[in-house]
Amino acid sequence: MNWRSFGEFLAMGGDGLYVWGSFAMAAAAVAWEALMLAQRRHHAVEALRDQAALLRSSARR
Amino acid sequence: MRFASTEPMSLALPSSSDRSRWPAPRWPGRVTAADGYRLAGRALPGCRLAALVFTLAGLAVCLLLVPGDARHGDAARIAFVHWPAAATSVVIYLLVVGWAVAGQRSEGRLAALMARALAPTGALMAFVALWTGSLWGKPGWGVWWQWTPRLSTEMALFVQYVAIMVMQASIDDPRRGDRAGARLAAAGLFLLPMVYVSVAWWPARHAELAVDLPAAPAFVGLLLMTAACGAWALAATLHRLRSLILECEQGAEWLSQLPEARA
Repeated sequence: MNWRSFGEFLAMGGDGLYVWGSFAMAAAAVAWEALMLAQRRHHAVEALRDQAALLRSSARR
Repeated sequence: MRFASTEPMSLALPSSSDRSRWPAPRWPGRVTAADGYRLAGRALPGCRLAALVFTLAGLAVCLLLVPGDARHGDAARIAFVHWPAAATSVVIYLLVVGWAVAGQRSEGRLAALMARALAPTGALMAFVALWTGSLWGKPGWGVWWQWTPRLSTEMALFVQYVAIMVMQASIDDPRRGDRAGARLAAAGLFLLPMVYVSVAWWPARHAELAVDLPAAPAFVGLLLMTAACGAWALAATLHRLRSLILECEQGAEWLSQLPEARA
């Protein structure tokens, strides 16, 4: 372990803003992509369900 | 394309279940969209788990175990995000071109859909590489940005990704969109060797040959973070592919058999 304290860990030898800014942006990018993917799948599955329900109801008639 | 004069023009391809209307496959055992959907679905949990495990392990190594760099101090840790993202963005571009070209040579749309699924993830990786590189540039070299060959070609790669995505989004006809995307992607292929060798050919203020991290923990950390990046990119791509297949195959018979179709 490199760090003597959590404060040191956060400060990153003075470059904390840059280091944590980088890791935070990478995490934000992953989270944003995950959100977009979930949304897209949600819309696709909803459309699928609507169409399947339509097919079932028209088959019954 | 032949147009029948009395029929309305149909822009939709016959669905994969409507085999009587599909042309004969060029090779045996053609993978259908339904197969692709199921395969991707089976691979997804493993990819996500791998991404999580590699990310946690990689972060532990690069943030806790690796000491600071002799030249750049702790700012060099940015390399553990920057390099994997940049490498992944380059590899994904190669895959986009490969799948897009394969999509042009096949009758089904699965390969073309795979290219469409890869592009946004690649664009995001390129963006992360540019952002983290810039944040490393300030403490390391004193500048946020420089028009050096490596930075410029990576920026060009990001713009190329966005161009492919915008192009395909703006074309309504799926087949024409696939073809346009394939051509644009292939046209940008020259960027990849440029990104790779630009540091050797035009020595400038770029890092990778100059970071003095001690070998073992840094190498392991870099490997883990790269694996994490790759696993995440694969998981995102497969997830997107499944949504694309659902959208593309609307109205197909096999879709109504899926568990998702029952509310």
